[in-house]
Amino acid sequence: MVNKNILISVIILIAGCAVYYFFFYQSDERAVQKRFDLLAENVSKDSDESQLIMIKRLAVIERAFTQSVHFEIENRSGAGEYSSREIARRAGGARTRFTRLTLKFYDVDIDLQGQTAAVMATARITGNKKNGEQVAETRELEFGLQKKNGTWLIAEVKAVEVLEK
Amino acid sequence: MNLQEKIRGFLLPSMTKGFALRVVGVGLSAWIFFGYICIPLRIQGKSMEPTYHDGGFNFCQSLSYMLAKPQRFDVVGVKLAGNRVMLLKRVVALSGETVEFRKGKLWVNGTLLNEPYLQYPCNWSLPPRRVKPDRVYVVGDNRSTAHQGHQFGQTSIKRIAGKILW
Repeated sequence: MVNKNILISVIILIAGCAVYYFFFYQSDERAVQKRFDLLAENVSKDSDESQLIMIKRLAVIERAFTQSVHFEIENRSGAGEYSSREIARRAGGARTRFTRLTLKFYDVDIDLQGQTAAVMATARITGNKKNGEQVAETRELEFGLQKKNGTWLIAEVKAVEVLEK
Repeated sequence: MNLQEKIRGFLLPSMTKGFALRVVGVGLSAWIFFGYICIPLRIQGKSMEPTYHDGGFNFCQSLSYMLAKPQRFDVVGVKLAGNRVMLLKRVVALSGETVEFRKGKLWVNGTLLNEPYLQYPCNWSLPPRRVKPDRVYVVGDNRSTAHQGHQFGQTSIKRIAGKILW
């Protein structure tokens, strides 16, 4: 009987630790991962998205970046410094061209260095444009993040040239 | 033990130490085999049509280039940030070779390459470029779209995750 009680206590303790770790524990690595999950969720668009939801999502996108963000895209135009507001504005403009859009990050590799983090990830965008065109783009991206007032913000985005024409 | 008990024992085995070890062993072997040796792939996109179709299924053999380098016409998986998403492409030129597209035809070292797997029209034109050391030049089989919208080019051999199984 004593053994059974000990076993139940151990199981409850392990379950409690697991619940705490998965739902409440906030390490820097998890916070960075959450930043990318949130960004993907808010860049994505459902076919029945309302104006109110769109405004809310663009605000979340704006809050994901530092005031000034450096974009580096090899052999492509569009590189330079952008404000977080400009990024959200451009994201909004791009989203309106789609009826449905999905952004997902895969293989997110986080390297924490104090108050900064270097992140490598594969970004895949799929969707349908309003003109019926189907879009499927896959890119390897390198991000630089900074921790400001306890929040991890994206400060740098670099597109890695995997295939050089 | 009668047949009914044998079937029950097979479908609902009692949790013995030996059974638990077998379950762990099978799980671990499957994780290593399908995670690192023979990686399952679901094909998304049309860049390898008509050889590989959108929605198809295949495996990437990561051990195929342990002792040998990729060869011309091999269909390979090109890694991005990791193994979860790869680009499926065909090796058309090796390091040191010169690649050129002339009105949709591929020329390697000044010789027209015979590509029987191409079924769609192509009008690409690209000036000659040399493949750098330890790199291979990869292209998709579907070259019917403008080359600006198609991902192809030379990549490091280190990025080749393996050869496609079939």
